[in-house]
Amino acid sequence: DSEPASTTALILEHRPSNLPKKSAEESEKHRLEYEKMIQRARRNEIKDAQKRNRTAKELRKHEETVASASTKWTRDILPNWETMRNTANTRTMWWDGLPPSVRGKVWQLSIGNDLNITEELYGILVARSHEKLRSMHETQSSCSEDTVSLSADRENSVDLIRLDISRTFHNLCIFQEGGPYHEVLHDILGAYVCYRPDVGYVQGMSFVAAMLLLNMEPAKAFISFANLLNQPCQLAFFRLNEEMMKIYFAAFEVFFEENLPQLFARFKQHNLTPDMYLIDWVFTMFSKALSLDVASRVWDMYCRDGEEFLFKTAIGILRLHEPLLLTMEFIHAAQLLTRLPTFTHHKLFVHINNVTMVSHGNRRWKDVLALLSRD
Amino acid sequence: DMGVGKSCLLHQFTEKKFMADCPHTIGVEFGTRIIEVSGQKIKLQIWDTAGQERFRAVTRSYYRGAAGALMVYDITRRSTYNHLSSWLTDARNLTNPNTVKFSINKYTITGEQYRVMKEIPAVIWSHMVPVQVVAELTVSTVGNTGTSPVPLESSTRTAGVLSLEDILSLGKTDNSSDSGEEDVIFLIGNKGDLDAQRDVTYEEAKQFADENG
Repeated sequence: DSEPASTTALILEHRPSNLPKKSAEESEKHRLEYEKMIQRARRNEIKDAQKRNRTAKELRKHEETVASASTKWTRDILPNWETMRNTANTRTMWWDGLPPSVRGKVWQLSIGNDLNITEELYGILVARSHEKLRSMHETQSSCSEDTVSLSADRENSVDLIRLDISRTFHNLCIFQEGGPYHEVLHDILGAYVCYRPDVGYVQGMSFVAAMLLLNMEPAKAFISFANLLNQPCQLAFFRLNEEMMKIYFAAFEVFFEENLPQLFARFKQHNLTPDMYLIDWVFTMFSKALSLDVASRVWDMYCRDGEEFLFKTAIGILRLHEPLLLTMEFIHAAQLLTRLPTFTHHKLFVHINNVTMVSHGNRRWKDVLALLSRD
Repeated sequence: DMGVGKSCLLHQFTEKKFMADCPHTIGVEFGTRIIEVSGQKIKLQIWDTAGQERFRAVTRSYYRGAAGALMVYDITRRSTYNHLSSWLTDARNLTNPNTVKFSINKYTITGEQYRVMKEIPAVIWSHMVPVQVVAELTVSTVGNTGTSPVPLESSTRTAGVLSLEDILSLGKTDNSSDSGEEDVIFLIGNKGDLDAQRDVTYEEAKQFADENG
């Protein structure tokens, strides 16, 4: 124990000589009191030391778990991805959160590359987006910004990207102008606009691309980005397909009501509709609303369980804040949900774990979604 | 439009400080502030919507029941100014059509005059032009006469300087004699500190305001 024991090192001074002497009885009483004080201080110090040891041990243990998990992932699971990805053990380890060292790899494998995008294609698309920007600026950029809204070809929205890049994870200070990832993030988004001019750049994309970029190489991040955005849920939202978005909101409400009937009724009564908070959460996959580490774990689970987990997380957040939300009027509840307070992993994931994604006895997320789509 | 500084204005209004690199709004965000008008406490609820054109279908549903609106453009980007009329059309179409009527030249105090009156640096107010739409709704919940604007803080960026409270009270200054049953739309040219890169002149904005009521 290296801490100085300052409290036990008190020096008991003798009584100044100019004062009358203490009686023997009084001196004895004071001596005992002094000893008691010292003992109490010692006990506290021992307790503190134990506590420090415990936290240090926990930290070591945590580090060891992460290290051993990361070995297991790299040595056992990743090389045998197809056979190992769905084993009970893998799934449990997955729920505990992916070690940062394998996170990017697992995300890549889970998202896959059904679109068969190559790194060469990425290079071509980046070059094309640079060219596009150059030619737009030569022919008066302000005009082109006008045409963005009019034309069905949204390739011109490449000019809008720069407005959002600096405002993406600005607290990390890496995406701002002059930051190490500024150009790369711009490239990925620009390349996507050239790859899917029918979708173009849509606000929210910068967060998704940035999350990927924080965990993998630029070309790989682009491949994952394009494939991720090609998923049904992301396609519905990023194409602002109102009909499909409404179906997703309705499906969410089915499970919201199932899990939190009281809060659901209150929101209904106050007209606090899911679009008000879900749009931000789904578009950015929680990377804007939650802290980076919590969001990363949500992404881990999204990679394991698919879109369903995004909505499960949403209900988990509502569950976590339910006691407070039940006392709030509309505007404060809406404010809370669009600007969430920070909380720990543990707290949120306990709540997510308690969300049941089964409705009416046996309908799962996919069934509900299919049912709603049919109507 | 996106990146004109809507959220930044809101942040300034509710938190009283400038926020650099304010994250872009996806969908909608909310702000509240209690202001005191003629001794009466009034709670403002402000809905801050996403600026990108693509989100318009979503944000359209948030116009209903609004007592007023602030239309913001960026004086350094003409396109944001050019798009104002379509935003205005939305604002007008999506509030109750039966109650919305337009009145002309009700506000005699423009930003320019207000500046002289209050001795506020020109750069701040030069682009603030009240546009108004009259409806059967609540100006009274937004503000009324008698609130003297708080002194403006100096800041490096305009979004941090512009006080919505001032704008709101300015709008009301000329409205005291009214019953106060109106929807009001304000036009705000943001980023006045970037005057050197100005792309839209005050006169143009004023004309836009006049033409639209």
